[in-house]
Amino acid sequence: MVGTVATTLIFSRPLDEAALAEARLIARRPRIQPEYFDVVIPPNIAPLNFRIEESGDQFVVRIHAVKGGAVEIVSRSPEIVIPPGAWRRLLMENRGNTLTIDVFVRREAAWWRYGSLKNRIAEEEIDSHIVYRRLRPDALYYRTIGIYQRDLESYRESAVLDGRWFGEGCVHCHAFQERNPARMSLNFRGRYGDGCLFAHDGQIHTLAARLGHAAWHPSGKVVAFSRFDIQLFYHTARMQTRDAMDSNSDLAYYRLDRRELKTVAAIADPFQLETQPSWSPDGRYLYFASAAKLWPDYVTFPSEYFSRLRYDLKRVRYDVEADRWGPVETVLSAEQTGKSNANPRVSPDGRFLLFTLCDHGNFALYQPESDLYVLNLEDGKYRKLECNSEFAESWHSWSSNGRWIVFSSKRPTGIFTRLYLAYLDSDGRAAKPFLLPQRDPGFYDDFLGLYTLPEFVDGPIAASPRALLSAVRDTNRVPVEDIFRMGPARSPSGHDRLRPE
Amino acid sequence: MTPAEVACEAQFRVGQERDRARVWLVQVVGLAFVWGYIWLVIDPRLIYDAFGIYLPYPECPLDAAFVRETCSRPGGPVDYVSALLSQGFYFPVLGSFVVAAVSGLLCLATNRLFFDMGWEGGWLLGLAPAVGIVAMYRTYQHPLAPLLALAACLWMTAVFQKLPTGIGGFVRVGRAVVFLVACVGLYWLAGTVCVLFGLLVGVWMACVKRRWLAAAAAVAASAVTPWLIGTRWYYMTATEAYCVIWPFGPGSWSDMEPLPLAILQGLFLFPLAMVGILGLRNLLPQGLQNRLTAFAWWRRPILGTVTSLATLALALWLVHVIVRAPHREVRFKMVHFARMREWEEVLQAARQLRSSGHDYFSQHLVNRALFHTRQLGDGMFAFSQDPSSLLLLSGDVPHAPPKFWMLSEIAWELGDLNLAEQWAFERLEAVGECPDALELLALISLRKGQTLTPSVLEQDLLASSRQTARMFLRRMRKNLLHRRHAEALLEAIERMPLKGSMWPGNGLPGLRCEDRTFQTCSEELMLENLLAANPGNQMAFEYLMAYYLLSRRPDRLVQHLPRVKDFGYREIPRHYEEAILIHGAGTATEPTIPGLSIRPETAQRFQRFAARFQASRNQPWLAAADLAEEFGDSYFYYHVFGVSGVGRAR
Repeated sequence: MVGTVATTLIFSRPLDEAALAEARLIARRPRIQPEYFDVVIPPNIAPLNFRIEESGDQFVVRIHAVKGGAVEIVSRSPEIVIPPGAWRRLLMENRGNTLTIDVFVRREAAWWRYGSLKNRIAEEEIDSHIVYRRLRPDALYYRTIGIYQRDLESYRESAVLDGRWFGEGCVHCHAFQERNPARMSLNFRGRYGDGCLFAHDGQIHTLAARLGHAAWHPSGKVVAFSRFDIQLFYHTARMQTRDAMDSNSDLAYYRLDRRELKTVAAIADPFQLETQPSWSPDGRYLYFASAAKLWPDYVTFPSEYFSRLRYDLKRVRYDVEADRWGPVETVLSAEQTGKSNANPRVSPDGRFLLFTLCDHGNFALYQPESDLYVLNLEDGKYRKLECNSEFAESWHSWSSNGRWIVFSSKRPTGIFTRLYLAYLDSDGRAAKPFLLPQRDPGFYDDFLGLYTLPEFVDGPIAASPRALLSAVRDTNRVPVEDIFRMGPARSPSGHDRLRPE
Repeated sequence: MTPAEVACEAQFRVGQERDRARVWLVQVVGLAFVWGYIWLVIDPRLIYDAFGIYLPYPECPLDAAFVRETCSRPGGPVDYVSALLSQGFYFPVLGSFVVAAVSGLLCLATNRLFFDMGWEGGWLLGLAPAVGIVAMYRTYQHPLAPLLALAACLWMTAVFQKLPTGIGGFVRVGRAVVFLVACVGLYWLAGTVCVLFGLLVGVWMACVKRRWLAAAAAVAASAVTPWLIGTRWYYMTATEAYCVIWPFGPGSWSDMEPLPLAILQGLFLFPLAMVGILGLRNLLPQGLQNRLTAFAWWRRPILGTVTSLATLALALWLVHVIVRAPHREVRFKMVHFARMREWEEVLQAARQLRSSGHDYFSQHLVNRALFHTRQLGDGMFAFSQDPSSLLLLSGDVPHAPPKFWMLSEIAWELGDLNLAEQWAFERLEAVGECPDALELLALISLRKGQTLTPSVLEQDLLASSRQTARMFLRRMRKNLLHRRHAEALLEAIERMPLKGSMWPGNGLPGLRCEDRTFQTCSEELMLENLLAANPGNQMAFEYLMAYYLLSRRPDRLVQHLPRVKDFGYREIPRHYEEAILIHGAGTATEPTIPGLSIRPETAQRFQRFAARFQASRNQPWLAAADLAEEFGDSYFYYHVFGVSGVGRAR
């Protein structure tokens, strides 16, 4: 990396323009990695550094648009590191215009010019940060799990909370109130037990509870949670070795004003598995995935049932002021799609619902067939998004202006999850997605980590790692009852028919 | 000066030079002996091969991000350097040189401290750390990081004591600032040894410089440094902050067997104790000090040298004789030979251990070696056995690095790609980026791409499996020692046709074709599936038969017996015969395999066993003791008593 930068600087001198002008044209586009062409990019994104996968001993890249001067990189290395300042100016001046990348390669003392690579610069900016979970693939005995934030306008990545800081602990299921970095919740487990952290307006408190997926109500007064018992299992002969399903799950909600965790029958039906809550932007509905429990007991679980477990997308009305829940409505059933519908996320304008369609269950990333779909909430029609691949896609999030989505995809390896950003137009049509840029163009070549659960936020996380870690270690927590023991339809043990192994 | 004085001074100088030469001679000989001993007796390659299995894996990829991350925690630089030097253990001569060099650093620094405390004659005792280090390695421990941390601490102390002294306030303030910087720097560099640094400086200040206040301040400052820096800067708890590369209190370096841990703790306490004793001596009246110093009879040239060398040799001989960890030594050898695929040597090493010395992991390696030497059906009960050790799938087997390695390897050899992948990933996460785990994952990806892909999108998935393999190999390329091998494999992938026949692992037996799901894998289900997928999978067959033997189910073994002919056996393996006889005795049947029959000697042996067992069946413990001598290596004995590998067979 250092070598690349140095090379770029050393050879950043005026070239023999005549030689370049006489470069012979190759009637195809150059091969580059990552594939940063034909994409729509935000005007405030960090430079999309790339590697030219064509043989040559010198490389010239010219990046230009309608307005402003071109950015020119001359390098002996095929790894192209774009100067951030010039890139930023070029993008900001050319919102809505086409960005052209011309690649020249010198080979055997002659210059060759490839077909231009074109991208479009969107008018709309992207939120400045994303927060995601970073871990290693398919490990039951984890050592390195952390929640990290990444500045999209630069390459700065920093840990929000790393499990290694508290004895190889686990951190998961971070959520924000409408992309507000000052209001966050995340869960942890490990040496200090299970807990759920709430960081809001400079204060942090911890709930003594084992919780899962979280969704902040837009008002910031309530956070909906799922609580689940995961069953991990393995396939004997499938590309994706690992699989998982919930053997039990319910939803509950935490009133921040009263510091009280509650649930109601509508979202904690003992005969249903409810999970993955998500609020509508107006806060009137809680969307979630729900499936009927098919099995009578744990003895036959899961081999007979796992492939038959399919989730519906449902919603339930909620009045935050009166703390009153309405009846449950089915938004999109598994019967309609013939598959399992999971992970609903409503767009900020409330028009679209982005969700994952997979063969079974709700752990979409374990199934290569998983794809992102969009449901038009106005006409009830759903369709597959254009940004899918033959590998698993899931864990999606909307930007605050509703024009960008970030999602996890297992392309191109089928094992390692990477983050992709894609532009969505006003009709909900997605442009070709592009890989989260890194300073080192070869970063993904040997990065053995995974990225999951990316969430947009409009600034760096307000709570410091020190404060979050102190809260993890602090055993003074808000005591709450286990969700599985709540609810009117429960037996005293809390488990009507199921008991986790 | 008079000529007599000049002559006297010259003679004195010659004497001094001779003394110095003698000291160097003994030290160099001592360290050379350490080098030779570690090289020839301990064999650093055994330690290298146990990394990530019985010893923590010293992870040190040549990767800027990794270095940055490692160096962003206290003790990180020493950890990284230690991991880097540990790679030298791949070459025994280099690994032993590393140990000797670290011993040298510690001994010289200890001598330096003795000298600064005014004790010039203590150089022989200064070699004690080298003896301690040999003792540590004699027990097959690898405490390179704490030893480097200790060396950094002692040298930092020695350098600090050499700083200019003065009465002026500026110099004093300057020294205080240097001390604080050194303390903080040492904490970042090497961890909690900064406390030891403060204590050593404190004793020196108090006893040599007679500056009691400064001494107390130095001790206090060093004692609070871990708390201040560790908890405030590195987000650690107070306990964690005081346990960075430190053998006292909780922490990875305290997780050793008692003897090596005591030796390591002794190595850390030794300089402090000696400096303390010397400091107390300095506080004695001058006359008494002189009388004590005059006791240095070993300064006599030839006698002194011989005595010094003899003392050193005696100390090392005592270490060699007294300090031993035979169970670790044998297990390390077994792992080494298994990695080298020298299976006869694995068995030879295993025979050095008593039955009680074997654990699940050594038993597992024994069975693997028996299979590869075609003795599994004939010789497995000559060794200690446990049903859980066959495939390590049982919940009884602790989830530990040896399991991750062994299970991923055996699953790969059996052709169970998904299981191999699952445990290789576990290993990667739990142990670190071991090159062999990365290579295995790359090979699994290639093989899965070739065999598991559906016909639809086949090309894409084949390409993706290659892409995955490349990722693992590129990561492996960042390993100093395995770089070239990784590059060769990468080149091989580029050269291979997409559906070529030269794919790695093609010589392996077939994998499971039918996709099933499981939460806890059972040996029987796994092996039967593998056999169903590929009836020619001899390893799966022999392991299945071994499983039936170990789980004392001769009826199931007899059911699968006709398959023996498919694998070209010219005679029925002895343990299968024994199981047939037991089954026959219980059911009054006699299974037959056309062309193969039970050898008469096996039948006679069974008759003898049955008769003697009947004679004392009311006293099973007596029977067990009585029959062990003759039948301790037989399936008869295991089937009845659940024990094997006892008696004459050993």
